[in-house]
Amino acid sequence: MPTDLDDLFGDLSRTADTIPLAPAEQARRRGRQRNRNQALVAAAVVALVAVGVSVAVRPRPHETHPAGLAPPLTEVGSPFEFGGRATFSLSSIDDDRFFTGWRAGDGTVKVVAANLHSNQVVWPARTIGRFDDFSGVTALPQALLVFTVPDRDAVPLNDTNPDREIHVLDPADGRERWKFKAPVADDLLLDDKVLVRTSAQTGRTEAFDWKTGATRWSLPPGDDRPAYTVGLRTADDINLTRFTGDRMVQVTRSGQVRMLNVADGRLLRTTTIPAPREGYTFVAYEGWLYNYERSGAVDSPFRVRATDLSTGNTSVVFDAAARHTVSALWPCGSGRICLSDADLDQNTLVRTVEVASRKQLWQVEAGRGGAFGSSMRGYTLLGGSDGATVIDANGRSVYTTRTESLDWLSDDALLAVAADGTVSRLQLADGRPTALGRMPMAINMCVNNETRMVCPSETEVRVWSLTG
Amino acid sequence: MNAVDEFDEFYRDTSRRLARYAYGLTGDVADAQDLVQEAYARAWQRWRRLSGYEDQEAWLRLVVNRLSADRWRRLGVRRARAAAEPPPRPAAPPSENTVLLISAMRALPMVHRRALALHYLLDRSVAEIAAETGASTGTVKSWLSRGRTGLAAALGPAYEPEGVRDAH
Repeated sequence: MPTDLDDLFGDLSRTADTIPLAPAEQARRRGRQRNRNQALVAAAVVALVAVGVSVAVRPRPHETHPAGLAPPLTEVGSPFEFGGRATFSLSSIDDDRFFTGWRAGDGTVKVVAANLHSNQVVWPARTIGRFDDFSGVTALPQALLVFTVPDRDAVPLNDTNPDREIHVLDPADGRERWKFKAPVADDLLLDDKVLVRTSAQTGRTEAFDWKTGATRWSLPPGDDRPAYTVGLRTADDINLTRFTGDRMVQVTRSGQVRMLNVADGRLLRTTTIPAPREGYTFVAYEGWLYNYERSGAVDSPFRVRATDLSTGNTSVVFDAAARHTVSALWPCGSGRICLSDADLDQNTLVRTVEVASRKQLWQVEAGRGGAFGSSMRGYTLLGGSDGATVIDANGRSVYTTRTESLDWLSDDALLAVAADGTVSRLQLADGRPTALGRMPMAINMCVNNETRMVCPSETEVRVWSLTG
Repeated sequence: MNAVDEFDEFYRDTSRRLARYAYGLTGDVADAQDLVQEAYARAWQRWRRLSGYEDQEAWLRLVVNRLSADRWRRLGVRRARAAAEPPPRPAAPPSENTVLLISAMRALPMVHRRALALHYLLDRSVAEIAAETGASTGTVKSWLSRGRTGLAAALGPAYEPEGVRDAH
C-alpha cells in the first residue's frame, strides 16, 4: 500500500504518461472546426440553465413513443431565415413576442423580434457587433438582454472567467439603450425594477435603471465584501431568470446575511451564518435562504442550512454522510428543499427535506455524477446522467425518460421532445403522454410557452403551435 | 519554420505534460484526452497571438482549468466531438494507488486539486504556482496544506503523512 503522496502522485504520473494522445494535426483540425462546435458547447450550457431539463437526445431501439408516428406539428407562419449559416442561435419568449439572436460565421451577432402567434417580424434584424462568442438572449418586459463575449480566450492567467458584454435593448424597437461589461464571476440580478450587479473584482453592488443604464443606487464593498448576491424568489416567479419581488439577499465573506430592498438598496435586516467558502450555492425562496456548506474544515462533511429571513433564525436541516458531496439544491415546494447528494463513486440521490421538521420526506436515485432540477406546483423535474424524471410531491416517479428533453408547459403538463422530433404533452398528474405532432427534426434549443414552441437552428427560426 | 511546424513542435514538447495535468485534475482518461485536444485546438485557433506569450503552457492549463471546472461544458464538448473525430486509443488501466488517489482528489475543491497537480505532477514550486494562479505564496501554501489534509482524510489508513517536501 502507498506510504506517501510522492509515491501516489508518482504512480499517477506514470499512468498519465501512458495516455494515448491524438496527433497535433487533429488538434489543428479541431481548431478549424471550433466555431461550429462552440455552438454545441454553448448549447449544452444553456440547456442546463433553462427552466426545464434537457437530456442528450439519442434514439434507443426499445424506447416507446407515446403514439406511433405522430402527424406533423402545425407550423406558425413561415421560417425566418438568417441569410447564412449561424454558429449559434437562441430564442427567448416574453408575452406575445419572441426574440432570436444568432452569431454569423464572420462573428456578427444579430437579433430579431417576431410575433409569437404569426411569426411576423416585429422589428428587423439589428446588428449588435462582431464578437468571439454569443451566449444568449433574455427577454424581459423591461428590456431585451443580448449576451456576447468579445474575446473568449483573452483572459489573464489568474482569471478563469471570460469577459462578457451585455447589451440592453429596447424590446419595442430593438435599439440598443446601453451596454456594460460583466465577467461571468459577477452576480447579476434581473429584477423587474432594476438590474443589480455585484462585481466579483471590486465587491461593489450597483443597481441600474433598465431604460437609461443610470445608477439608481450603489453599495461600496466595505471591509466585509459580498460573496453572494441572490434575489428573493416567490412561488409566483415562474421564470427562473426574472425576479418580481422587492427583496434581495447578500451574504458577505464573513457570513453576514443582508436582506435589502431592491428598489433603493436599503438594508432591511441582517443575520449571521458561518462564513461561506467559494463555490457554495445560495437560494432565497419564500422568505428563506438556503445554502449548502462544509460543516467545518475543508474536508468536513457537507450539510444544508436554512435561514429564516424574517426572524434571522438559522439551522442545519440536513447532514450529508462523510465523503458525500452536496452539489445542487433548489426549493421544491413551500417549506421544502431538494438536494443532490453524491457518494465518492458519484452515485447520486436526490433528497427532499422538510425544513420545519428537518426530516427527509423522500429520496430517489438519480444516476451518477450529480443531479440538478427545478420544481413547480409540487412537481420536481430532475436531470442527471441517467436522463430526466418527473417526481410528484410524495416522491413518486410520474415519468422517466432517457431520450427526450422535458420542459415545463403549463400548470398541469410538461412538454416532451423526442429524438425523432415527436412532441408530446405529458399530464403531470399521471405522466400520461399525448402526442401533439412531429417536427421535421429534433432541435434541442427550442423554447416554449403554453401555446407555442420556438426553435432556432443553424439557418432559421421556426415556430410551432402546441394547440393544433 | 512555418506556423504549422512551430505548433506541431510545441505540441510534441508540451502535450504530455498537459495530459498529466489534465488527468490529475479530472482523474478520467477520456476527459484528459479530450481536454488536451480542446486546449490545443484553441491554441491553434489563435496561434499567432499565443506564440508570443511568455508562458504558453500556463495558458493551456488555464483552458484546461476552465473546461474541467464545468462538467456540463465538458460533456457538451465530448458530445460535439463524438461524431467528428476517431476515438483515441484506450489507455492501460490505472494502478490501485492511482485509483485511490483519484478518488481522494475528486473530493477536494478545484483550487486544492489544481495546486496539488501543479506541485506534484509538474514539479512547480510554491512561488511558481503563486505566479501562475495570481495568488500569494501564503495562499498557495494553504491550498497545498489543505489539499494534503483532504487527501489524508480521504485516503484513510492507506496514507501515511510524508515529511515536509521542499516546495520553495
